[in-house]
Amino acid sequence: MRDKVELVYVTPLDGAFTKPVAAGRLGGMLDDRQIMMEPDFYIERVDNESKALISYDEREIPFDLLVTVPLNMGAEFIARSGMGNELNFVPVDKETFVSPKWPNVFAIGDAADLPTSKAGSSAHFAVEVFTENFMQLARGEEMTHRFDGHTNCFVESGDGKAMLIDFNYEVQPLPGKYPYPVVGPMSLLEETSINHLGKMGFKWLYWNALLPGRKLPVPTLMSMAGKDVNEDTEVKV
Amino acid sequence: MTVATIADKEVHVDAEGFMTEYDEWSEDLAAQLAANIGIDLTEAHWKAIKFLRDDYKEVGETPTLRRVTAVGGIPTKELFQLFPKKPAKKMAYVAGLPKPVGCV
Repeated sequence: MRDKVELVYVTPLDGAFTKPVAAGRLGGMLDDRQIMMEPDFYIERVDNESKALISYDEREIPFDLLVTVPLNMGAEFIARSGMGNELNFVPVDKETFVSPKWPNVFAIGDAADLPTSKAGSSAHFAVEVFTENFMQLARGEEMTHRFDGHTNCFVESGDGKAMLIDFNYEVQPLPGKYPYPVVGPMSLLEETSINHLGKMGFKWLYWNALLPGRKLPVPTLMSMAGKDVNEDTEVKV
Repeated sequence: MTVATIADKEVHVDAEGFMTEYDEWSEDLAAQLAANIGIDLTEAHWKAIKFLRDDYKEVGETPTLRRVTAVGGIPTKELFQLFPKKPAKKMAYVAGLPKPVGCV
């Protein structure tokens, strides 16, 4: 079946992987799977009559089956409040989540314009920093905690394997081991079966440890321990 | 990071030639950067570049095409005419800002 199907990955960015280390290590993944790529494609409209995607610069990509990822925007009530930006996210300081316009307003998670992924992990780590800061603020103290943009997420890659990436505002996804150096057991920026098992195990952890508020054995701020920095000379530790 | 000489000035650039230091940029440099990618800067180009520079200074991120259109008031179609094929990347290059990236 697979050899009768043509798959095209269409992206507005200049590639499937845009960070140098990830692009270097994973750039061949689409080729290996015989998936074609159309980069720098900004969709102006979907023509359902001729079944084609049409870009602003009048490129056309025909399709039989279209799978789209809609633009990730904030809530409509943020737009109505007049506090959001063009994507309905509230602009806030990326380390403390305080609005620069209104010092008594914080925005976190999917409401904030933080320059990182809208990932559950990012929101989780951010809230840990926010909670500490907010308690200080409520006591009339100075807020001393700073969020570094820490995010991690699994990327399922098929055949019972997955990748894991871990990064922050400053440090791009790097290869290595997670959560513990050397022993892992999970591998960063690499497809492994253990990563997939980790993702499946996380389902249980999510409901039974994370949501009840138990502390997981992973640091709130990103750790360089376990990361292979040789590939990136610009890493700021 | 490497040092390149553009318009007789030494500036820091990344592996793809994008400038990495906001304050090293100047209008003369922009004209040379634009020439490097075959673009002759007109007033319409400058409007987009100035929006990118100002917005980056305020927000700390290179604005997306959507933002240049929604906030900067320049239609996306026009951005494709000014900076053919890859406007987001080309505008960032000429404005001396990091290119827009995903998380991986």
